[in-house]
Amino acid sequence: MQKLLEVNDLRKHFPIRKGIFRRTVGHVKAVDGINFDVQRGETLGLVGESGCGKTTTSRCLLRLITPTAGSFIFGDEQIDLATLTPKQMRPYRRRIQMIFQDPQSSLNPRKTVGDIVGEPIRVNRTVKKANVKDKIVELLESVGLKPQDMQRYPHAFSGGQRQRIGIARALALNPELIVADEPVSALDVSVQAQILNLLTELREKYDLSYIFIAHDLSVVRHISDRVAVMYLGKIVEISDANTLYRSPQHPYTEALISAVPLPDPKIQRERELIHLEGDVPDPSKPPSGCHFHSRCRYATDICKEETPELRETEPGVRVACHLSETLELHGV
Amino acid sequence: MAQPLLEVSNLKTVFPTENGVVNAVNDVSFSIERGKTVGIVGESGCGKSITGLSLLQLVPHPGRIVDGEILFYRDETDEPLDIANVSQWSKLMRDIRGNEIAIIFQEPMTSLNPVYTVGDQIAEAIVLHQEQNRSLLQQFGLQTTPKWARELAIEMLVRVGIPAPEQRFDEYPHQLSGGMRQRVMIAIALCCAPALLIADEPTTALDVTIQAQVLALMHELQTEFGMAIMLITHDLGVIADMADEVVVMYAGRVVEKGTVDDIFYNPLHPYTRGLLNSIPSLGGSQQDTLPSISGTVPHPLDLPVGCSFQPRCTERMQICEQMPELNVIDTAADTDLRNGKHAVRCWLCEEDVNAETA
Repeated sequence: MQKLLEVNDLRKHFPIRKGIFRRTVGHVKAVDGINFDVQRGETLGLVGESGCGKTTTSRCLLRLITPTAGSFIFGDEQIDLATLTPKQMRPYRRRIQMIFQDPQSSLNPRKTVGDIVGEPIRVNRTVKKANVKDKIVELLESVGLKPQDMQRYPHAFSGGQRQRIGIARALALNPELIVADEPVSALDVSVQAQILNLLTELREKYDLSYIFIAHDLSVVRHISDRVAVMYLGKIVEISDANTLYRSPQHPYTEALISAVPLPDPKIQRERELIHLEGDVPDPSKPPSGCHFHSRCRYATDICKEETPELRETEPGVRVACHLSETLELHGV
Repeated sequence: MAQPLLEVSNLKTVFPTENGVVNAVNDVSFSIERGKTVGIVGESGCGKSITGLSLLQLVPHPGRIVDGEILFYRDETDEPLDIANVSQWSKLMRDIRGNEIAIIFQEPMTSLNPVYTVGDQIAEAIVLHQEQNRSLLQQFGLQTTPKWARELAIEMLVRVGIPAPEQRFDEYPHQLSGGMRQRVMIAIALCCAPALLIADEPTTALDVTIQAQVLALMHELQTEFGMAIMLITHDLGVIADMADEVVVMYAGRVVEKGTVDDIFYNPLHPYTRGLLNSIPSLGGSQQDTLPSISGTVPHPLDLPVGCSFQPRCTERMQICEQMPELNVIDTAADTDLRNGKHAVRCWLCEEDVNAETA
C-alpha cells in the first residue's frame, strides 16, 4: 500500500492569556506530539474522550488552524502541508475534505441542496459551467438522494438525509482524503447503520481514504482498518482494529473498551468492568510522566516520572506504556 | 404477584398543532414494579420522552393527556392515584413531583441554573419537601439543626461520589465537568428518596468512561434507596446493562415489551430485530455491510396506514395495513423465558393470520 499522509510530531498548543497585558501564563497542549500515517484506501479511526484532541488534530490537518509544530507529508508529491502559506495551500484543500458532526448546523438553511453541493464545484471551477448540474445530480444519486431534491432546502430533510447532503458536498471535488468528525453521533441507530454502509460503499467506489473520528468504539471498530486511541493530546495506542479490540496493550484502551455497555444482557451481567476514577485531567495541567497514571490501576513509580514513548511492541502495534509487556489486558 | 408501583394503561398524549393533531404517545401501557428498572427504547420522535413527562404531568403546552390511566400506588395498602386525572397545577401534583417521582434530564448543563450554586439547588429541593427529608435525615444519622438542609445536601454529594463536597457545595455549575453536573442532578433527584426515578437519556451527553461511572452510581443508589427507575434511552447497550424490563416504542406506540432477556434473545417484532442488528459489534468479527433498517421514521402528522412500521418492514404483508394489537406471546422455545410478560404488536405473531397464509 501507498502512504497518503504521514503526520510527524504534530503539536498544537493554545496559549492561556491573563491580565491586562494578555501575558501568556501557560499553554493548553491540545495536541502534543502525535505521529501516524494513513495509507491509500484505508480508514484510520481516531477515538478518545472529549477534550483529548481528536477534533484539534482534524482541524490542523485541514489547516483550519495552524499547528504549533510538526509536519504532515501529503500525497505522491510528498508536500509538507504544515508549512504552506494559505495561498499555496489552496490546490490541496480540494484533495482533503471534511464531513461534520451536526448535519443541522453545517448546512446553510437559506440555500437549496443544489447550491450547497454545487458551491465547491463553482468556486473551484472543476467542471464546465454547463455540466455543473449534471455533476450535482450524479453526486446526489451516489449518496442515495433523488435529483429533484436539488431544489429543496435542508430543513425539509431528516437528520440522516442531511448527513447525506454533507457527504455529497465533501465528495464534490473528488478528494483523496476525507476527514469525518463524528459523522454519525447525532443520528439514530437505524439511520447510523445506513450512513456507515454508505461511507464504506463510497470508499470503494471513489478510492477514498478516511480519517474517522468518533467517541463510539463500536462504530469505529466497524468502519476502521486501523485505530488510534488518544488521551490528553497524545496517541497512547495505535494498531489494527481487530488486534486493538481483542488484545489491547494500553490500560486506557482496556478501560475504554470495558466501559462500553454491550447490547447483550447475559454477557453484560458477567463482565468484569473496570471503572476509571475521576474525570479527564485539565489539559493545561496534565499529570507528570505518563498522562494516564492518575487514573491507571496498574501505575507504578516509573509512570509518574517518565513519559513513555510510543514504541512498536509487535509488528503494526504501537503503544505508549512502560508496562505493556508485563501487563495482561483484556479486550472483548 | 406483588402490586406494581406504577401502572400505565392506554395512555394517550396529543399535541394539537396548526397542521393537525400529533399523537405523541398513543395507547401506551406498561407497569413498573417497586425497585426494578424499566427501559424505554426507541428512536428520536418515538414518544419516549413525552411518556416520561406525562407521568409527571409535565407535558409542555399545547400537549395534553387525553386518554388512559397512570395508576400510582403511593403506598402498598392505599388505593392507587390516577396521575392522568390530577391537575398539572395542583398542590397534590407538586407534592408528587420531586418527592415521590423525580426526573433527571439529558443535558446536565441546561437543567441546572447557572446563577445559583449547586448546593443551593440541592438544598432548594430539600427545603421544599421538608417532611420527607426529616426521615432521610434520621436514616443518615444527622441532627435537625439550623443548617440541616446544607448538611443533608453535602451528605447527598458524598453519596453521589463528588470529591470535596464541602467545597463543591458553594461552586457554580460551570465549575463542574459534565459527569459531575449529572451527579449533582442525580443528587437533587434523590434528596427526597423518591419511589420512582425517571431518567431521560441520563448519559447520552457523557463520555463512555463517565457513562460507566454514572450508570454504576445509579445502580448502587437504586439498591440503597430501593427506588424504581424508568430509564429512557436510545442506547441498547445501556438497556442491556441496567434494565429488568424493556418497552420498545415506535411512532408513539409500544411495538414490543418484555423482560430484558425476551427482548435481546427472542425479539419478535421486525423493528426490534432491525434495531438489534444495526448496532455495530464491539467484539465478534467485522462485517462489510451493517444490516440497516431502510427508510426513515415517518412524520408524526403523516403516519402510514395500519402498522406504522409497515413501509420500512422487510416482512410486510397485505394485512399490515390494519393496526395489529399488542398481544402477550408465550412462544419462547426456552420455557424459562415464558413469563407472560412478552407482548408484541405485529401480525407475524398472530397465530390465526399465520395459519391462514400457511
